[in-house]
Amino acid sequence: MTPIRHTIIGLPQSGKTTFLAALWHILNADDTPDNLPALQLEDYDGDFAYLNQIRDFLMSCSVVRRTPTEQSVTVSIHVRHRDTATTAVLEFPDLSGESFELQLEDRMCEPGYLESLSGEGGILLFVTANQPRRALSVVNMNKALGDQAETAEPGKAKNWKPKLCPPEVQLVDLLQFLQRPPFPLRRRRVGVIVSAWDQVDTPDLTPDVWVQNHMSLLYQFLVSNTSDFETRFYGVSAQGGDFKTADRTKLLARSPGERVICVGEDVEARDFTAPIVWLMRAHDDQD
Amino acid sequence: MVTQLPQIASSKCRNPACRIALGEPCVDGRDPVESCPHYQLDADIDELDDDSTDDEESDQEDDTELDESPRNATPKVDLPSGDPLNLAGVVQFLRWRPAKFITIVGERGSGKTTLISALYEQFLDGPFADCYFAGSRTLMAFEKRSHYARAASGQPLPDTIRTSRQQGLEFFHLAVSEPASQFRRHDLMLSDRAGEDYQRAREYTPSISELIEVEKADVIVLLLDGDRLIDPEQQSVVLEHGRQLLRALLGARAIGSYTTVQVVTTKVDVIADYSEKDSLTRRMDAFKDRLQRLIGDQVGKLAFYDIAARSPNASFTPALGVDKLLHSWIDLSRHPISTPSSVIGRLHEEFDLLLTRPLVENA
Repeated sequence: MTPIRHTIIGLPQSGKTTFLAALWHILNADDTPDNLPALQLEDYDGDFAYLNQIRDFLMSCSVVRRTPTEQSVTVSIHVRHRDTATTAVLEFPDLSGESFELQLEDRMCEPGYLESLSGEGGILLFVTANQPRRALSVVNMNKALGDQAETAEPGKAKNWKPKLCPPEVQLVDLLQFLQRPPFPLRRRRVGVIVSAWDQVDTPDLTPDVWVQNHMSLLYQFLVSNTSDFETRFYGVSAQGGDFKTADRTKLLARSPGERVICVGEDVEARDFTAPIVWLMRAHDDQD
Repeated sequence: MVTQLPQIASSKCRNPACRIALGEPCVDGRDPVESCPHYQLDADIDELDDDSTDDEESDQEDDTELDESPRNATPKVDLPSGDPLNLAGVVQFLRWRPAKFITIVGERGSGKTTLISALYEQFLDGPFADCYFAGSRTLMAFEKRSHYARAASGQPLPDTIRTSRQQGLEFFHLAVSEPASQFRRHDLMLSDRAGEDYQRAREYTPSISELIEVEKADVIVLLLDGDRLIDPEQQSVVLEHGRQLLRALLGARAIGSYTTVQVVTTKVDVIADYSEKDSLTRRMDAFKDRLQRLIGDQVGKLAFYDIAARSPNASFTPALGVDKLLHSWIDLSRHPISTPSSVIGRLHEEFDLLLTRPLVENA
């Protein structure tokens, strides 16, 4: 039986590469013997050296280098569920996120992207909890500046370009593409992954409430379109903390498998593979 | 990290290819740099500036590289533009699902585009008027129109690009859902056209036949410019022009007995500070009474609203009164005024057939 292909979508710097580095380590290393992840490696194809390189960065608590934009790094990982033996392919169609920006600017996508989203698989949609950029109005900016606003030199107006849209607007647009031909019209599972979850300033917040508070337009869109998207929200941290602070010394003392954080509905023992397991379960649930 | 690295750091990298001393990142991409196996730990790294500003600068430089990179030459798959819809785009949309047509009319500068973009912007801050944002076929168009009200534009005060006559008739699509009613969806088509075209319609009634958005409207929203209403020399002119435009549209039978007409006073934040506010209020009340007598029984419903769609005054409620307008449009979607059979009888275009399909089915 052909394994279902699931697609990873996210704008540049939304945490996809770091997630992949941690996932690659977890699937390879089995360094969490007391809490084995639900998934294990089945097979892989793609850039083996690249996966190991970013994994090494993560192991030495070095911020995983931003995926080079001069090369479109595409990675596929084949996984198997330990209990059900169900297999799946995780496709990272463009780790740099460049192609997603081009979709918004040029209003075109690669044929391979269309193909990867034409099957029955789901989507992991990445957003970052690290300094989410919101649509700040001139009025609110002036309010925040107070007296300074009145004396501020008028700035030179910048022309509009799609890149200036808030990330949540860009993500809604990417999802709206999937609601129309040439993409097949069907209901998809979307696991919204809030990366850098260790940076969330309110630890008690659940990922769905974080998205509701910080990316409201995306949240409203998803809950209004349940006929097209079945959504769950997860908070993940591939690093487990900030590598640029004193935490780094503590983090170095632990293996990447021990550092990772994953929270969300039905996530057991911080299992980093839980969002993927949920995507894979869609097929079982339908059966 | 691109800049502000102390020179001393460079001499401690064992990799001769590394140009970290020149302000470039670690050649192996290590961040923090002490995680690089080539970097000697006795380097003076105390002065490293790891704040986010540097990261942003680095990102911007990366972005520049991105723009210069050659793009894949393989054939691409076309995606929807996100631009405003023309008539063909509206017809295509109506094949997918029905929509309510909100036709916003008013003279130049009365705030038509500002109302449209301010309505959209509210959903970026959260649910608005008890509704959720459910999607838009014209998302990029909303963003573009909202740009000069955003801090990212560098504008000192919020502004809106004027709609030119060359742009012709455009539609903005906004879908909202009601969480209190199992996320029931409502699709709205908001028209946008240069105010000069409506001025011409008032002065030269044969041109009304070109205003297809008026004839197809479920709701006509006539905007009265609050900025001009507080100008004693303009006050009478604004009211008379508004009355005259409605009369012209009725006379040309562009507005039918099934159409809802909403007369909306804009920029009421400016009126709130007007020294002769009481006098203006009395005059407005008299105008509304007169309009009710003149056309109240010729339209489906005549109603009056006050809004301040985008006040530069931060102490003013954002999009004041726009929530009531949205409520009224959604109410209409729930309880449509039935279209007389005489209207259905003169359908001839695909646009008409698609537009009134639900009404025909209900008839």
